Amino acid sequence: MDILTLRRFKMYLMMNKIKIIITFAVTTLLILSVWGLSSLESFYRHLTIAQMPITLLLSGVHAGIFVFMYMVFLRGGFTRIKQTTIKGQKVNIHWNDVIGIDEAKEEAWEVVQLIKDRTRLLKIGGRILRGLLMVGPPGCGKTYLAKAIATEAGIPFISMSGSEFTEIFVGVGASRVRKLFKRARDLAYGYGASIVFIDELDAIGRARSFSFMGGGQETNSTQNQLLVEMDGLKDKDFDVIVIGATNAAEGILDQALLRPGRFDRKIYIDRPSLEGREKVFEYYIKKVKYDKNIDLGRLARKAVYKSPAEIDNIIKEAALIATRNKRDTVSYVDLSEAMERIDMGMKHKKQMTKEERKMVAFHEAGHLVTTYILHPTDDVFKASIISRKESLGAVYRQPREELYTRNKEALLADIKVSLGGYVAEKIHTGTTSSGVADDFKKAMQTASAMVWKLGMSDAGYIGDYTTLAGSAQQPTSFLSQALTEKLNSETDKILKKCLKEVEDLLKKEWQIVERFVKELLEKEELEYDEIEEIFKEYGKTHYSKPA
Amino acid sequence: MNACLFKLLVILLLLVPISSCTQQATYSKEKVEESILQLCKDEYDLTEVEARIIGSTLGVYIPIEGLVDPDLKLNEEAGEKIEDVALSIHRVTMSTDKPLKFYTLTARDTNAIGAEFILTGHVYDVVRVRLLDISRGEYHKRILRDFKFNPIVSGKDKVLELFQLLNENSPLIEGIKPIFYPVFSIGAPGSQKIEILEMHAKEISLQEALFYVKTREYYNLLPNFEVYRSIFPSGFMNEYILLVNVSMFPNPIKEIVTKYFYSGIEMRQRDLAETFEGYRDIGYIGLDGLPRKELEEDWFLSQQVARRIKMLFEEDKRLNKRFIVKSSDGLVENKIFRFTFSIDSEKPLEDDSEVILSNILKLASKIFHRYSFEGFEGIELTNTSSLDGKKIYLSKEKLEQFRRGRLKIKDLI
Repeated sequence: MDILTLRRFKMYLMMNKIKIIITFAVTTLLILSVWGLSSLESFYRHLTIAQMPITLLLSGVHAGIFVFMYMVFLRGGFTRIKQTTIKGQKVNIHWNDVIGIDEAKEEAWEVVQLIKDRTRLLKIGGRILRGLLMVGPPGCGKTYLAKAIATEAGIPFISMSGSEFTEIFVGVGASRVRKLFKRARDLAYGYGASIVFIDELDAIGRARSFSFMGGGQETNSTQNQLLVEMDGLKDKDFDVIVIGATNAAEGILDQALLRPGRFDRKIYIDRPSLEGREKVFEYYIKKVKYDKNIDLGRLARKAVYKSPAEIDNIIKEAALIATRNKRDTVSYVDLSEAMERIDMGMKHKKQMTKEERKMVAFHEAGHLVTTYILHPTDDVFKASIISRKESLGAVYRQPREELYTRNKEALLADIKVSLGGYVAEKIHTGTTSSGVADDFKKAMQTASAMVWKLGMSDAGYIGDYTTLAGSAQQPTSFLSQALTEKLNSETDKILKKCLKEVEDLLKKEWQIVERFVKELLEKEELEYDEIEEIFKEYGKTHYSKPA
Repeated sequence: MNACLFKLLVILLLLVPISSCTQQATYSKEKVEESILQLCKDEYDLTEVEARIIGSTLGVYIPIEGLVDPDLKLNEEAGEKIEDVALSIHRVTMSTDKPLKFYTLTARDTNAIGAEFILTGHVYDVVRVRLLDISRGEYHKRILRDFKFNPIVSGKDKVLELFQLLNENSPLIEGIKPIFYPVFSIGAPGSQKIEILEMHAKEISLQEALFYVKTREYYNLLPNFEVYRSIFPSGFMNEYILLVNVSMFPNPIKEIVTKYFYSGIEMRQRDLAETFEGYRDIGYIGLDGLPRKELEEDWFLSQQVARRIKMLFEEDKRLNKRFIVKSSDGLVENKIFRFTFSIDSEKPLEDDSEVILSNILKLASKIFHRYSFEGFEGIELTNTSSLDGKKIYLSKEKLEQFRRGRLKIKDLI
C-alpha cells in the first residue's frame, strides 16, 4: 500500500467519520433490535413487527419535523452549505470543450501547468499559485474554464456560489468558508491538491463596508474568513487553489482579496470575437441536427456581442422552432428567428387601425432609410411593424463588427436615426405621434452627452460638465446659469442640425420611404436581404465616409 | 462506498422482520401447562400451581392460604398472586400455537372455609385488549369473576372427615353408623375400614353440594352373618351420595344415601351413579379446582350477558335510579339463550318493561355482535318481578334487526 493510498484511506475516514459512526451505531442498534426481538414472546414479537412500518413512518415524520424546526429556527433555513465535490477526472470538461476564449485559455493553461508541476516548483523553491480570479461578462465560460482546469490538472473540484455563503445570521457565512476550506484541505491531503471554485465571488468579495449601525457585518466576516483561509494556506503542505469568478468590475472587489498571495493571477474572459463566435457556433451546432449549408460566418457576424451561453441558447431555441415547424434539421431561418426571439422578445400582434399601422410603417421606414443611408457603423438587419414587448414596430440594427468606442459621426448618426421616425411621420401626415417618445429620449441623451461629457459640440466646450452639475450626491451645482444655458443650447443645436439633415434626406428619398411603407404594410417584416434588395433597386448603397 | 453502506443498512433492516418471523411460537402446544407452571415458578415463585387443558379450555388452579380476610374480603396479597398467575396465563395463551379459546383460574383458600375466586376469560379478549382493540374497561366487563364460598370445597373436607371418623370407629358418629349399610350392620365392631376410591361433587345451590363417593370396604364378618360373605366379601365396592349444606355448620352433612339398603324383607340396591348424574351442577369447576369439561362459547356468553345485565342496572345512573336488580341468570338450552332476571321498579311507570327489555336486548345483541357469535337460534328474556310484560322471545334475525334499529321495542312487546 503506497503512501498516497494510505493517505486517501485516512482522508476517507476523516471526511466520513460522522457517516461511519452513524453506520456503526445503526448497525449495532439493528443487531440489538434483532436480538431483542428474538428474546420477546412470539405475540409481542409479531406485534412489534406488525407495528414496525407505522413506527418507522412516524419516526420519519418526527425526524422530519425536528430537522425542519432545527433548520428553520437554529440554522437559518434550508440554505445550508451544499458543496459539490467532484473528482477532477469526473468533471469531464476537457480543454478542447472550452472554445471562443482562446486568450483566456492560454493564460489558464499556464495555471494548469503550474498545478501539474507543483512538485517540481516546490523543489526549486517556487511559490505555488494560490488564487485565480476570472473576470468577465456572464455566460462567457468562466465556470467552464474552471472545470476544464480541474479536468486537465486531475484534482478534485469543489464548486460553490458566493451567494451560498451569505446568510441572515452573522457568522454562518464565515463558518461555511471554514468548512469549505477544511474539506478542500482534506481532499488536497488525499489527492495532492484540490480546486475550490467560488462562482459569483462579488457576493462575498465586495469591498468591505464599515457601518456604526453594524450593517454588512455578515459579508465582512465571511470575507475576512476567506482572506484568512487563503492566506493560511501558505503554511500547509498541500495545495488548495481558489478560483473565483465574477462579472463585477474588478474595482468592486475588496483590494485585500486581489493582492498577491490571494487572487494573484487574473484572467479576463470577454465575449468572443467574430472568429470565436464562429467556433462557438460550430461547437454547439454539432449538438443538434442542422442544415450543412448554414453559413456559420454569417451567423457569427449577426451574433455580435453574444456570449457562448447566448449562442448555446440560440441553437437550443432554434431546435425548438424547427421541431415546432415539423422539420428534422435546424435551418438558417430557425437560427435567425431564434436570435430575434431572444433579442426582441415574442411577437404579439396588436389590433391597430389601418391609419395607425400606416403611421407605424412610415415611422419605421423613416428609421430604416436614415440608418441605411446615414449610419457609418450599423447595419439594418430587420424592419418590422409587428408589435413586440412595448413597441409597435422596430428597426433592428447592429454594428457590422465589434466596436468598443463610438466616434462623433456615429453618435450623430444615432441621433439622426432616432429622429428618422419623427420626420417620416411629419412629412407623411403633417403631424406626429406619441411613438416618438423613446426616440427623442435616446436622441436627447446622446446629444446631451456629446455636449456635456464628450466635448463634441461645435462651440468647443470640452470636459465633463456633469461632474460639476448638481445631483443627489452633490446638491450644489458649480456651473453658472449662463454656462448651463449655453451647454443646453449646444445640445439643442445638435438636435436641430440632425433634424434638418434627416428632413432633407427623407424628402429627397421619399420614394424609397413610401416603397418600404408599402412593403411593410404588405409583409409586416422585412429581412436583411429584402432590405438590401430594395435599396439596390433604387441604386442606394450603405453610408460611405465622405471623401 | 456510501452506496455500499446504504445497501448494508437496508439488508440489516430487512433482516429484523425476517429473522423474527421465522421463529416459532414461544410456548409450544405440547408444553402449555408446563410453561405456565414454569413461568409461575420462575417469575413469581409460585410452586403449587396446577394446570390442565381440556379441549380448548385451559384450567389453572392455585391454592392460597388466607385468600379471604376476616372481613370476608379478598386478601390483598392473595390478589397479587392471582394477578401473577393470570399474567402468566395471558402470556402463554397469547404466544402459543395451541388453539386455546378459554381459560379459568381458580384460587381456593386452604383454610377449609370454602372461599374460592374464579376468573374465566376468553383468550380472544386478552389478545384484543393487548392490541387496544377493546378498552380495559370493556375487557374487565367481559371476564367472569366469581368470589364465593363454594359448598363443594368446604363439603369435601366434611365428607372426608366423616369417613375418617368411621375408620377410626369414633364414638362421635355412633348414631349414624347404621346408615353405612352393610359393613356396620354385619361387621365386627372396630373391624371396618372404608377406602375412598372416587369422589365427585356437584354444586346444586349456593349452599348445597352433592357428593358421590365410591368406596372399597373391608371388615370382619360377625358370626351368624356368614351368608353375606359371598354377597359382600371384604373389599367389596360400595357407593354413597351425601348432601352437604354449608349453612348447617358444624354438622353440614344433611343426608347420606347408600347404594345398598335393607327394605325389612330383603337387601336392595340403588343406582347412585345415575341419580348423581341427574342433578344439575350450577358450577363448572371440579373438586380439584380445574374445569370439569371444555367451556362452550354459548355458555360463556350466557354467563357474561347475565352478569352484565346486573352491572348495567347497577352502574347506569339513569337506570339505577329507577330500577332495582335482584338477580340475573343465564343459560343456554337448545341453542336458545334464556335470561331470567328479577328487576323491579322503584316507582312503577308505564314504560318500565319497555325500558328494561330494550336495555337488555341492546346489551345482549351488542355482545353477540362483538363476538361475531352466530351459534344460537333465539333469545328469551324473563323478568320474574311483579312488573307487567315479563317475557319476550326474539329469534336471532329479529335480534339483529333490533340491533340495527329496524325493530323497535314497542313492536316486540
